Amino acid sequence: MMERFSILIDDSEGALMRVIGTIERRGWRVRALAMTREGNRGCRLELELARLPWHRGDPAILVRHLEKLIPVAAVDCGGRGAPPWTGQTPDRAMVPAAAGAGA
Amino acid sequence: MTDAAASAAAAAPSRTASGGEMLVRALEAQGVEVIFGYPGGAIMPVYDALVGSPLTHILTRHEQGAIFAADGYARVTGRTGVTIATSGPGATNLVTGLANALADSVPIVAITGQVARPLMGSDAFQEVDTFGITLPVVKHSFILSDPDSIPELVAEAFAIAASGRPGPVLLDLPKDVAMAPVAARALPRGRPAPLPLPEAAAVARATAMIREAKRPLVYAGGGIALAGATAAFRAFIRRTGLPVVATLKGLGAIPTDAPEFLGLLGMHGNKAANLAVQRSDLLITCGARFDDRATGRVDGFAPEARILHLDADAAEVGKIRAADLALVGDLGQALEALRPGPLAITSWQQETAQLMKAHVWRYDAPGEGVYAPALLRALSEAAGEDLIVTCDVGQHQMWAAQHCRFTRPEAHLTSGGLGAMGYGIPAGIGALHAAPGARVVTVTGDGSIMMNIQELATLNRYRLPLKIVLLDNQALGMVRQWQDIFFDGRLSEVDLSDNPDFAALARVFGLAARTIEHRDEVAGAIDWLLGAEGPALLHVKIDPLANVWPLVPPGADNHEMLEETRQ
Repeated sequence: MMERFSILIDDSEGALMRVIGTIERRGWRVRALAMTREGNRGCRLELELARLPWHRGDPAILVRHLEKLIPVAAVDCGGRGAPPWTGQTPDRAMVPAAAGAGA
Repeated sequence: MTDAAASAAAAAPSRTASGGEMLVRALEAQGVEVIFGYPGGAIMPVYDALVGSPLTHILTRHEQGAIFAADGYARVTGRTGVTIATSGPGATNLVTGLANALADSVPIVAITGQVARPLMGSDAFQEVDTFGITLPVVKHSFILSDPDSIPELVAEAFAIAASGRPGPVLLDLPKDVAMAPVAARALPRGRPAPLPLPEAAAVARATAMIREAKRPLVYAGGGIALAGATAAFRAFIRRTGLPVVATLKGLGAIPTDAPEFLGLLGMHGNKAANLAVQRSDLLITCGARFDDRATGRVDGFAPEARILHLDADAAEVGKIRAADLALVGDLGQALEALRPGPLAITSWQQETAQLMKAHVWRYDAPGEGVYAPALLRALSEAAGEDLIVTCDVGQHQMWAAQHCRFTRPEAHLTSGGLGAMGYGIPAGIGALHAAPGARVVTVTGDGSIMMNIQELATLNRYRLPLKIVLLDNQALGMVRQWQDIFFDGRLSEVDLSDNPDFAALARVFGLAARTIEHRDEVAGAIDWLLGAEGPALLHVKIDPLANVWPLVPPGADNHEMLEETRQ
């Protein structure tokens, strides 16, 4: 089964390799890839991914792994990635931290 | 980058500096005090800049020793460890340490030299694609290709390494950049980004889940210490009286002799802990990630339990086991917010207490030889509260986890995720620089010690009072045990009966050393080891056929433990 991902990345060194490497290491294969410049926001990757047959990979989990990468600004996979238990990803699910907390 | 510009350090360089000097000043501006490294050609401009710097550089005898030492330093201090190596083989020798830090979420900044920019991609001497080789084993990385960006990227590297779920960040520095002049200016300091706080509605749902549970159990992982949430965790346990099991890296989140603590769970966990997990109806997972060594067969793990998952890393939630509810963000704040009030779990507490009573460790092994679990327990009791144990990997690592007493998570340094033999002694070097007054003991085996034996020279060079307990079974014991049990006893390449005389070897390196092999020598040997001045090694010959029990076979459920058949 194919999954379509749309990913916005910055143009820092290795950004594309980090994205592709994370996808491959997490049990998916890239079947199609298109990359276009999106003004000064960076580059838009449109990917078609196939899950390895022996892998239990959930697209929602892959979304969250990709979101952790420093050059990744946004990941869309048809709305997946948002944890079903809250309906929101963490940065949206939580109230903002107090200024200076955690430093 | 977080607020590096806003928090610019006052110390601006007083003159034009080289890129290497700027890098060293940028490290100073991050508050770095100690770095662990090994020089070489491409990194020479940085080593040149270290002359006269207030930074303390510890010269190890292998780059893997350097990064493991930085790892140990980071785990004990909670601050980012720093390691430096040259290009090519120096950089590739860091790879295992980077993978170790990534697996165990340890904040490290690794700096590697690189050939000059015009030579990159030309197969130059000592050139490898360090950036590419290390991509899968770092949290992030930069090539410092612009001399003027060095201060900002160093600050950013420190911010990334320590933010959220910590991890290693690599800075690859081309030699011509390190030698280029850089204009004087202020040096920013990287600060970790704050984590999100728990949402009130989610906290309310979590609190309700805890109240409703009949058999709630806390599954504590290394994320508690990483989040600096040990105090909040202990307060939560005191408030609720919930029983606790821990992963290898969660040991010490509450003292291992606390009445609520049931023990290590998983493959070599104790029976009480594993049975409690299987019985629980709510697993409150704190900074843990359902690692296969903890869960056994995932589908059979805690089969009756709902999952409440507290973690800094959203990608861990649902990765292995679906969560019924998650609080992703600041673990300490989440624990502080969870106040379910009095819980009706008296019968569950009695049940878990009964499990503990029924499955206490036994130390009455037959024979006159040294029984490793008993030795480790006695050592731990004799060493006292400030003991820090650094482990290698193998049977001794599991015995240490099972039988040593840990009163805080920083007291147990172990290569949990990667399982890297050779970690113990360098980690001990790092721990002794992090806590110079602490009593640091490395527990190692005859296989593991040979992985980084050269670091005995580092111990002697700096006269670091590391105490090494070498449990010698003349074999790669854990592999031998598995070959015995799961491969019909066909032993393949596990025999180490041609080991060197370890005590003599240690003496050649300048350590005090002693060998024992009988049970009645243990007490005196522990006294000798702990009382020795400077570095010392206690070589302990043990039964080559000793096994680690219990053992959950691969693919089995955690209650299906194999146990020793001693009467």
